[in-house]
Amino acid sequence: MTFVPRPGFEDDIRAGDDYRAGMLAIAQQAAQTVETFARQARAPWMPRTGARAVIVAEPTRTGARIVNTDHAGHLQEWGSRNNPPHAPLRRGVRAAGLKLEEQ
Amino acid sequence: MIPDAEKTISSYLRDHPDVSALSTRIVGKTPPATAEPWVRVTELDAPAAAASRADHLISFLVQLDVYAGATGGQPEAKTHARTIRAALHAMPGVHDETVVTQVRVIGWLRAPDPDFEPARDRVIITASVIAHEAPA
Repeated sequence: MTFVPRPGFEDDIRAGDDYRAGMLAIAQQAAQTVETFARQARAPWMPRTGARAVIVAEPTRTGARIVNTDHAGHLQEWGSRNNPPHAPLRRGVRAAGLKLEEQ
Repeated sequence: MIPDAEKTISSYLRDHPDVSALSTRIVGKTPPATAEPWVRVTELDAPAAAASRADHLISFLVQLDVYAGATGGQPEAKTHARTIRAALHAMPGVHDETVVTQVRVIGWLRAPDPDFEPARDRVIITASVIAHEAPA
């Protein structure tokens, strides 16, 4: 007997509500770790009006994402001439046990 | 003790023939003179690797900001970044007091630095570097 994977199996799983809910739950946990690193960098630097927190997890069409809502979030993450990179998102995601692959 | 990843990577890149041919500078912080290109190496994180006994095999997260000079623009930043990336790929091995077992580039971002006027071209490389101290 030969096992033949169904081509659309993984896409079907990812399209399900359970998958997206699971991804959001994982993102919410990781966001707490990211928030810890952001606070170490003394975030927020330029808080966004109306944001419920500096770091938030939110659902997307295909899963979930963690967002730094600070207007200076890019400077916290990547640094600049005058700022060292603090990398709260990259460090937090790793510290939460997730595999980091930038895209 | 755990290795000094910034020192190891910086020394390695300075000695690498392809990198030294670029006439860029490998530094730990933004240099006072910014007319010529430079690469800023920053160690972001250094937890023990998941399968390692405590504090032996370290999973470093390192950011390399590859800056163009004042007139080099995007082509210079990209060329330098590609050269740095190739050198990192060839890095595993023994380097003085450090054994590097794996280097993986996990991020590559073209992100001009807005703190310059005009914004200075730069490529940000994020690398995972697995290393441990060399046996005495």
